[in-house]
Amino acid sequence: MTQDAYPIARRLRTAFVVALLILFIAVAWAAQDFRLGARLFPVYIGMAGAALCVIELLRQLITRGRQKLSDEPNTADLSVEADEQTAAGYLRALSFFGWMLGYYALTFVFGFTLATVIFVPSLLILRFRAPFLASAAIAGGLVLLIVALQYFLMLRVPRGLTHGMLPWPF
Amino acid sequence: MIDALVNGLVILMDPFRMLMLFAGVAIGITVGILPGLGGLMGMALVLPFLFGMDSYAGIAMLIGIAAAVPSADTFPSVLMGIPGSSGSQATIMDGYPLARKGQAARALSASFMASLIGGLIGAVALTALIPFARPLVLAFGSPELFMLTILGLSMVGVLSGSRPILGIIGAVAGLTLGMVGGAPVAPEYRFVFGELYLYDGFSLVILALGLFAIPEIIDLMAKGGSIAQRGPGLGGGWMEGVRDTLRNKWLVVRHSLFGVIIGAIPGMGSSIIDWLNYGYVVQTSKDRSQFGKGDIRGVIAPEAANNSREGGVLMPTLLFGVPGSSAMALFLGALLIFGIQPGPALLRDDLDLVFVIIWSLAIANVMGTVICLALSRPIARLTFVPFYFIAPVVLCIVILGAFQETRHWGDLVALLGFGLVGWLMKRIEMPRPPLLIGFILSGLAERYLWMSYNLYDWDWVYRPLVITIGALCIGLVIGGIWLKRRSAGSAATASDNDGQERLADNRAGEEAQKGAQS
Repeated sequence: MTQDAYPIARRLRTAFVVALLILFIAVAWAAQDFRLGARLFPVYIGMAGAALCVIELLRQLITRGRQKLSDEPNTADLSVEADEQTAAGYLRALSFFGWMLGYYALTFVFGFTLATVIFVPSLLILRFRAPFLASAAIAGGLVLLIVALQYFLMLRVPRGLTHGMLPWPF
Repeated sequence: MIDALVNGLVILMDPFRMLMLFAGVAIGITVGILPGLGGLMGMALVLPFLFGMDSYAGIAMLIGIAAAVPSADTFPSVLMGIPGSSGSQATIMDGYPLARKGQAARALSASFMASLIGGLIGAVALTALIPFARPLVLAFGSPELFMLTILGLSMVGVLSGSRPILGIIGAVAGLTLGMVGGAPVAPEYRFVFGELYLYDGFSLVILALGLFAIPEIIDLMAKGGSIAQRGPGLGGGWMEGVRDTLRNKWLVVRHSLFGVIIGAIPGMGSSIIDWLNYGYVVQTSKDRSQFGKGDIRGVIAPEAANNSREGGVLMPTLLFGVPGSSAMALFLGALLIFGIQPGPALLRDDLDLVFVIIWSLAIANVMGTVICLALSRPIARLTFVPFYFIAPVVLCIVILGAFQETRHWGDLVALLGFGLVGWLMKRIEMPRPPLLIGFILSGLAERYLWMSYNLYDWDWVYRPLVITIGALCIGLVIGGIWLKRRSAGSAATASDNDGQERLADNRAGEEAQKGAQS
């Protein structure tokens, strides 16, 4: 695998490190106003982080377009497959963040339980073409689970704008 | 110490605690079976539900997850040739060829037996270490404890695979995130921007769920389809696998001890241990002809080491408060949730709890093996369930869990934000565990640094134990890099062997086709 094999990942990596560089400089800068006890750690950490980001950016600049220096597997994480590193792969994954935002929006309006009833079958049927019965069964099972967790473990679910207008268990 | 050993068992034998241990094993088996979901995500999933729970029960549950994943992740490795978690990559090399020969049951049973023995050896090794380690760690003061946090942080370079600088940047970002909220040593709120939600700082639970659970759910949904195609089935030979393990008993013991020792080095990931053991068994075997084609020793050695490793990673975690792995970083966070200070204070004040953890590890290994053996056929079927049926359920539990943190909408916003950051880090191949380790160690590091500075000014850096731990940091980083390169060599050699075998298979297929055409 060459570094240029995944140009989107490479550009995003550079952008991410630049964003972190700005963050570290901001942390070290903002910490100047704190008391000594609260200042010591953020100043040193911010400066160290900024220095590391500069080193990483230089490394990226020097090794740009070259073969990857090492064939060592990235042992920290399971690797990402090649087809996920294309523009289509990124858009596909981002679309699911869009679905998640939709879930949040539904929760904000209807509360978590009713949002789940709407979201889960919609996702399964519209996005994955799953059978209606299976989708409804999963949504039903989830509602039961949510109600049981509220009852037995005293968990609380996010309430929506329509809270109080809907019957139990929503 | 014997009293504490017995007390630990008595405490754990409470029915509710045993039930929680069993629940942890069941969750561990489930996440172990599903590729892409590992022990870290399993722990992150249950973390929000631990609040208010009995601390022994909660800890038993987490240990149950940690102990069961290395056993259960063998299912996808053997049946489908894809790793159930990063710690079962090497098992594929011989486990999958055995399954293709119709000997999946033999490979699985051999693996479970090796895992059981390895797990028990790990627990015994951890017990044996405590009498020697206790006087040592009790001699530590705040400068030495600060150096131990540095030791934990210095391990992120090793934990970062092929991208050490990015890993260290991630750890520094974690330290920075840990500074948000009230400063631990001064009456000052930092980086809160007037937001009430930020006054208590970010939640470890939400950070862990965002970094590890959300990216996996998103990516697995984006891939679509089922986890894998149906394989040739399990076949027979359950007892043969058990006999294989017993026949290779010294191999199991050797690799279990190897797993404990390497596991005790903080930052040595399960995949490193897996590949190192596979490479070692190949190198030390007289007959190497069958490795990569279905040699049962290629399954037994890495699986024994993989389970015994859990005993090893608990050593630095419990004795020094230095997380032995990314999952143990989360475990440390859970201890803090229960108000338990890990490290020397734990050995001094709560030795019973240490033994509850060890007993949980041993019993969870037995439970995991029994469940995996008894329910192999239905468990194997789980691997063929389309992921899109599982994803909405997991997503719902993750959101519900995150909301329990402060029951504020900020929890959900933070979850989405960290999820996006975690997904981006995954895509750009920036290791995520260092960020979590940095976040967890942030408060401890700042507190110990301030105490050392206040008590000794900068003279604390000349203390003998501080210099020793500093040297240990350097030695472990260099040793870790060396071991990592060796494991990479083993992985590359194994891949070459596998590739050659597949090439030979293809050629044989082509010749057969030509013959049929002529």
